[in-house]
Amino acid sequence: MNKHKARFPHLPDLRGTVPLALIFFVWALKGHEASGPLFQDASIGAVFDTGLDLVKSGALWENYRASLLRVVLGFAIGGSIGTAIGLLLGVSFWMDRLFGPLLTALRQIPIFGLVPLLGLWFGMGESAKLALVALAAFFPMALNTYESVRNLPTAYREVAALYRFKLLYRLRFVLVPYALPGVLTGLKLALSFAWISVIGAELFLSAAPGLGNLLEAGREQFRIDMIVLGILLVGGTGWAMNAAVTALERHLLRWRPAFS
Amino acid sequence: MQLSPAFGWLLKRLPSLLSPFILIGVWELVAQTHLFAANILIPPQQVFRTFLDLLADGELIDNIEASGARVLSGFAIGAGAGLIAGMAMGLYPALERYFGLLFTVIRQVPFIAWAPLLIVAFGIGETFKIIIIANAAFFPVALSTLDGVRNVPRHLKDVAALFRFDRLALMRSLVLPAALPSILTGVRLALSRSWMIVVAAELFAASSGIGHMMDWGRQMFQIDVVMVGVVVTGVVGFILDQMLRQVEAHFSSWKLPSR
Repeated sequence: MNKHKARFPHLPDLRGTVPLALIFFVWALKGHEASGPLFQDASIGAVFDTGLDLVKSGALWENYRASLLRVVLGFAIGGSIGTAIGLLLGVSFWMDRLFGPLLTALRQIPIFGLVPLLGLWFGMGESAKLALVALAAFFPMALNTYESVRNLPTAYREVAALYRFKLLYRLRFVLVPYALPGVLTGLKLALSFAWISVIGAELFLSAAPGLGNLLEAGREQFRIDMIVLGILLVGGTGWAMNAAVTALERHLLRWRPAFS
Repeated sequence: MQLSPAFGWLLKRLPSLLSPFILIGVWELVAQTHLFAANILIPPQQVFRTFLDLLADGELIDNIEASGARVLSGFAIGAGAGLIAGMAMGLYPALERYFGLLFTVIRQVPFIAWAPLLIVAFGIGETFKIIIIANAAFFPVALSTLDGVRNVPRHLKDVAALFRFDRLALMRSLVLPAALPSILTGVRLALSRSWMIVVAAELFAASSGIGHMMDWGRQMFQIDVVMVGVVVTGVVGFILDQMLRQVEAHFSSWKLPSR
């Protein structure tokens, strides 16, 4: 099917790098022309030089570390509460009926629509930022846990009841294996939402070290190097987190035929 | 005892119908206790009154319209481009080999991180808002279209080849109908994402829109206005999602079996 493979069996397929290289070349050739009223200096050399300064002075690391800390803390808070609530709603018939629709409805609120409200409630500082990140992680975690636990087939329940499995045994060998794939999907979503909302919180709420702050400062000072570095780090970190959860997923679900 | 079907239906859904009232009830009760200052936790009926006021003087409708117009133009551009890109890459695999990596790289960066770059490039006006929405609407549609086109069942392609369908007939009678359910899923995701993003884009700077209304409310310390905004954005998002789910359900009823 793959003509490229058939024609050049020993070469890796590098065609995907062509557009990237083109963009890079256009930037290298035309970048200095773009510098003017809009950009301070957008030529490739200048962006590299000032970017390098940012790395050397430790300013980049300081911002990056602050964002990482926020995502870990916010995710830990929102993700654990979300898992607990999802589990509760999924297991209990009445909780499901009473609060399930509520959870589904609340999820529809755009996460950044909560910024002004959280800003008023918690002030524009660190606690509002953490609250936003925690909420962003809460919903996907709660919903995915809730749905995968709730859908446990009756047959599984009946077998567990028939063999009089103890509660812990039932959790370990019936509920957890059944719900794990859905919960892991929730984990992946929650992490990426948390990461997006960290950047948003840093952009919208008061200035403090963080990648969002780096981006915002770059915008105010027309410093393309700051913005480019910020975008690269935000994108790269999001990608790495996703890859890490996917690896975890593969490991935990290795007993499933689809993953072997 | 035999229950009438209507009563049974009601009994089954009663708790779900009750749940919004529970929320409002708890909210009211907590407001009653005065645990929080009255200007921090606004009781529900006051939020409702503010809602009616904003509705009566037309402010709310104007802002919803402004946000809606932004979502529509950004979504139309992004989803349209996504549909074309997904179709093209699905029909011509070589295109995907060339542009797949570029797409993957761009997709890794969350929409919010593009905002400062776009503001530097396009200023803080409408252009930046529409581009950021279009960018976010593009990927779900492009990916789900690609997926749908690629997964057209082999045996149907064989039949089409046997009947010597020309390109147009192939598109119209096979590829589009087969890919439609998958495309619609992408469209739903793209639309709800667009709605989420317009609120964020308006927080950066805007003179109209629901996000602007909320940010203004925050600066004026009018929590009731902010809360009306939260509820309205939630309800609009919910309605958009439900509408497209209906469309999706309608078209997936003739979803093709995979083999």
